[in-house]
Amino acid sequence: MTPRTLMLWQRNVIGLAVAAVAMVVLGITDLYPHWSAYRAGIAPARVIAKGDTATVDGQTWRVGAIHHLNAVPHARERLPAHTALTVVTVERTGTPPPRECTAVITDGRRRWQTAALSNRAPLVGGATDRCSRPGPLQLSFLLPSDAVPTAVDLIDANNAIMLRIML
Amino acid sequence: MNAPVRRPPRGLTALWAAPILVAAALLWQHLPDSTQVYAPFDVYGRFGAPASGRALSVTVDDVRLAPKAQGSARWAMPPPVTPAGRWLVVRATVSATRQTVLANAQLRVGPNTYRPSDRFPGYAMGDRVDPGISQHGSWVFDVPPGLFDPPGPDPFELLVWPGLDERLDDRLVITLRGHLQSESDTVTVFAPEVSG
Repeated sequence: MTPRTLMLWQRNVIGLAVAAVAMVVLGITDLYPHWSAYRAGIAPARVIAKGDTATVDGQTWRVGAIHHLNAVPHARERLPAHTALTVVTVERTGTPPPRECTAVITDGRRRWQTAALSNRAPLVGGATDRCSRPGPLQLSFLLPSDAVPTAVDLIDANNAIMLRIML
Repeated sequence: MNAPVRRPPRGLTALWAAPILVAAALLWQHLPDSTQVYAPFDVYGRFGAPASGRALSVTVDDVRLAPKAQGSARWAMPPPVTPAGRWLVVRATVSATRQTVLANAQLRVGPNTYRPSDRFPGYAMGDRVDPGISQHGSWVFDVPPGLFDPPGPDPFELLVWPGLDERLDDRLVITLRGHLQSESDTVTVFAPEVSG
């Protein structure tokens, strides 16, 4: 029996279908991980609304006290002119995550990392400034006097926003 | 009814396909690598005026060439430091536009590029820059004095960019030509003034 020969347009359609499938596979295996990492860096995995409590990985998070200071307590050096120190305490219960994180405060338009060591408020009430340690998380940020912060982001080592805490 | 497709003889196909394949292979072997392809997006600025990119804003207000430089701050004033060539001190105001970044600088003088000297810790410009908080300080470069003989070097530029890798981001290129002041004695490197 002689095998049936496909028409030219049929062979073209098959070629197009194979190319389309190859593009989809390439997108899923090669491009999606990059896109996913990028999205994780701009869209938080969890958001805690102002005054709310949320449980993430077995740990409960809640915003505690927020202080706006015009000097670093017990420090000899004064803050730079026209700046203020915002100290945010995040209350936590449960076992802390095994990994470290960094914190960024934002006013919705600009983003600041935690203050340099010389400008950080002393840790009080058993607080820590490291995610992996137990106790409340105390974060100090040096901001321009006119900045009105709206949220604190906690960011993991892969630059993904683990948690956004609205202030 | 479709007409039968006429195919060229097999030998003829090989005759034009072979050189195309060879050319493609040669091109593939000689493609530039990523270090040659990726580059910064240069944003040009001039002396005395703010130059702003995606992440940083820089205003250069003073450029001096001197045989000695001395750090100066409220807490200390160490002895003058002698360079291998001459000190070139660029004073500027730096601030971030959107987020905290590390500002890196280089000086391009004629065919050469120089990194800031590490002999003025605490007095030279700090790396970290925050939005809304400006830093007025100095970058200090150790340069050979012969480069500044008349008519002066071209290009003579300060390059500033955010982060460690200058590629695929804005890089400020601020021309300093015509603004260099030569000092015969010591130039003072004031510790950065930070203000919101």
